[in-house]
Amino acid sequence: MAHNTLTVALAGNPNSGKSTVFNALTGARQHVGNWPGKTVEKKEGSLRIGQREYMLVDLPGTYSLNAFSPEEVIARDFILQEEPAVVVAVVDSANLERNLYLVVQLLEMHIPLILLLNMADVADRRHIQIDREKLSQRLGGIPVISAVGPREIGLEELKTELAEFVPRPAPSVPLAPILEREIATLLPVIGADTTLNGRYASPWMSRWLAIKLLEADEPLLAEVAHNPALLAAVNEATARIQAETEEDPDALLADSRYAFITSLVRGAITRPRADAATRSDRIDHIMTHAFWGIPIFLAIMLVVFQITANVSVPYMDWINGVISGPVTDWALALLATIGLGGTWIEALLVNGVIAGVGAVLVFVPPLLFLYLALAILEDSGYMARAAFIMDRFMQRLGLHGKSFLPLLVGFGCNVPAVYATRTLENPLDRRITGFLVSFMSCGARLPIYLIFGAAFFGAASGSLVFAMYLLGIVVAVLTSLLLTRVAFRDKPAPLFVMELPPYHWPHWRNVLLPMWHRIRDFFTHAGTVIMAASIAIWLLSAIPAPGVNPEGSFNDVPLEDSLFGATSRLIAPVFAPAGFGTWEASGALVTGFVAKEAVIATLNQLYTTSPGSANIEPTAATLGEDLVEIVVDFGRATLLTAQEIVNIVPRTVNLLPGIEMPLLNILNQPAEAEDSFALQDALRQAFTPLAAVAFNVFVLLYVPCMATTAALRHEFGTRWMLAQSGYTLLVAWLAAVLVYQGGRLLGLG
Amino acid sequence: MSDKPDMYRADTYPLNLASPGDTVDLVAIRGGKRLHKRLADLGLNVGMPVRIIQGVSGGPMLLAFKGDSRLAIGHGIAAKIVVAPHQPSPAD
Repeated sequence: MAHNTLTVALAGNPNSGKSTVFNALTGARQHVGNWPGKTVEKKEGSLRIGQREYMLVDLPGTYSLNAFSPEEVIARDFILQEEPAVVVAVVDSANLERNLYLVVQLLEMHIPLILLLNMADVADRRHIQIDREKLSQRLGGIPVISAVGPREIGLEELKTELAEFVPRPAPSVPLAPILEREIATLLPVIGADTTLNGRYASPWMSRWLAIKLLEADEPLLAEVAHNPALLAAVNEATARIQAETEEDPDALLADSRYAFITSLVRGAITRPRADAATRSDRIDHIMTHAFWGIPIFLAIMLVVFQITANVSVPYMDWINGVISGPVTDWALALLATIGLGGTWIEALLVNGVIAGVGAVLVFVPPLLFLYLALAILEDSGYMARAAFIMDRFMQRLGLHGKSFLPLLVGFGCNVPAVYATRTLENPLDRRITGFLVSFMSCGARLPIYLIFGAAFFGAASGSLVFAMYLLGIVVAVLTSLLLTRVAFRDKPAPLFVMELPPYHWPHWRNVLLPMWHRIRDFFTHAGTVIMAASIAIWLLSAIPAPGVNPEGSFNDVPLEDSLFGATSRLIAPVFAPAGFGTWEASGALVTGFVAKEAVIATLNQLYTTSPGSANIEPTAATLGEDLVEIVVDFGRATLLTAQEIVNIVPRTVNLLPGIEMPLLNILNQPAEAEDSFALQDALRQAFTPLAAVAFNVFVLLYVPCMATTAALRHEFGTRWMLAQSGYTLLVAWLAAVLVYQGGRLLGLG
Repeated sequence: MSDKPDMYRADTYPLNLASPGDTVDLVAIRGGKRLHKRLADLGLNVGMPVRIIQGVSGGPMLLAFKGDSRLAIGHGIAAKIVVAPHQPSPAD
């Protein structure tokens, strides 16, 4: 055959280091998408061993192949339908018995297996010894390899085994005698059903089907629903088992599997007798402490926000300088050379595309820092602890600790946060958590606070940012109470179960890859959605609204008389009670439906540019001088960033009342950086400080963005999506009006 | 060897009453089939010793079992798990 690509699937528990192995094997040659029809992430990558191409598929991490969660269904269906040439079962060596539970279920399916004893270094440190020979022998001779994913130990051996792989007959998993007896009664009924003959014709697959039916596996019961005789046989068998043992078949099956595991590892694994506290436990004594856990968590979050709000400023100034300086100059020079200087094309390109997309690209540095911080928290194992610490609090809201994780992810981006609700078992918990996600202020909203913060509050800009995040949390808390105490009063008490992986130093690859994927998405977004929105807004603001201003013509009309201005003016009165009833503010909010980044892009276009030509005189610098300046400025930004990192300490300490710690100030911020933000000046003209805060409140709370709304619809259906959109609009408007009117009563505006 | 533990031991109590540092034997899991299956998937089975790392009344508990496994469970689940003081088996 022409293509000799072999499919290899990686299966394993969450926290078994499977993704690290996958990343190490495929490197950058991977593709991240979704499983067809599902919203669970699908990762594929290619790998070349000798002359042969392999397609590696990273199955979702699961503890079992029951059909409880979408992840389990996906992993199982992939193995059944795609029939990978080999499945590499990645297990955590320090938790061998528990991880083998999944392996035993793979054995039941009779698939070609390689066992990868990952995290061998952790097992070593804990003085756990595993006899690979013995294990391999008891597993019917399958390859058993010990590995350390992050250090790429054992991966060469894995490649060799893949290249030389020969399927071997898997040992059958012995079950309790009563189960064997009842399976024997089901096999002829399954065999007589010709519609099942395709997939379940082989003796082991019909046995597997019988086991699963006894386990009351819902998807498989549905698959055989056409055969009443088989369903009746399953019910009778189940009833006999229950009558004789007073236990459910699935409990007996779990017992049989664990008994088999015990026989597998007996004499093949030695561990120290005393079950001593590990280093991880010692860290947990502090980090998950009943009293200190929450202050420590808040301190960590504060440092994260300091990093995103303050430390990234020098690089933001640098990007802003490059785009508004050299890049704009180059574009103007280029257009002049081809004879387009001073035309509407110049205005579209400079005022529309470069100004709009540039205003969004400026925010790459804070997002990089935010994503970096979230990835470190995730990979170190702290994220799971945050769920543990917050469980008590979340229970008061009628949810549990696991709901906290999607919310935390929401600070990065709401879209993956909506999908992260899938880790919750209870569908109602999922719905409610998904409803709350959009109140977690995402990375795209941060630029808006930063701009307004810098314009109105200068050095105290971090306080506005922090206040916005906090307000989002408060609204989420109130909304959750409304949903769990009023709307869904009969909701059963939440059940919280979650594995906590041991702490470990984050591995650069696990931190940088997700960060890179997200930033790449951001760039794609800037290059597509934001660019399209920028062009659309520019066009709408260049076309005169009919009958408003008889003297206006294309690209020569005052903004407020343009189509965009006229439409926005229709909406503007709605926001008058909130203090920002200008058509520019309404226009920016409308484009914010598309994406929150667009709010800044629009404000920038509306406030800092005028119709007609670009009105910017290129500076006389040569290309060489420009490039030198870009590099020098980058160096200075890097030094300033280092200084700001040191300053995290005094900035954090200074939040405590009565303490004043001086900031490190060896290098001053370049003075011209301040007034380079023409938008800030314009905002100070257009908003009072109080109206600015009200505007930010509205931005925080109203409908997140098209992508999140689509994700909500995908996950929870149109009705829930519409309810969420309506609720957020209402709450955002009420909160903004409350802030503005309340502030005026207090004499603040 | 590890037969079913004695369900009728007199010294049993719900897990949420155990204190950090205690080691207990898991005697029974009361509650639905789903909970039972879920805990079994995660390796928590009747008959095994479990060490409590962290936990206060009304809050979640952090459990250690089978070497390196660490499981967080909410107090609602802890109240459904019946335990007894750990008795080392003769085989140990």
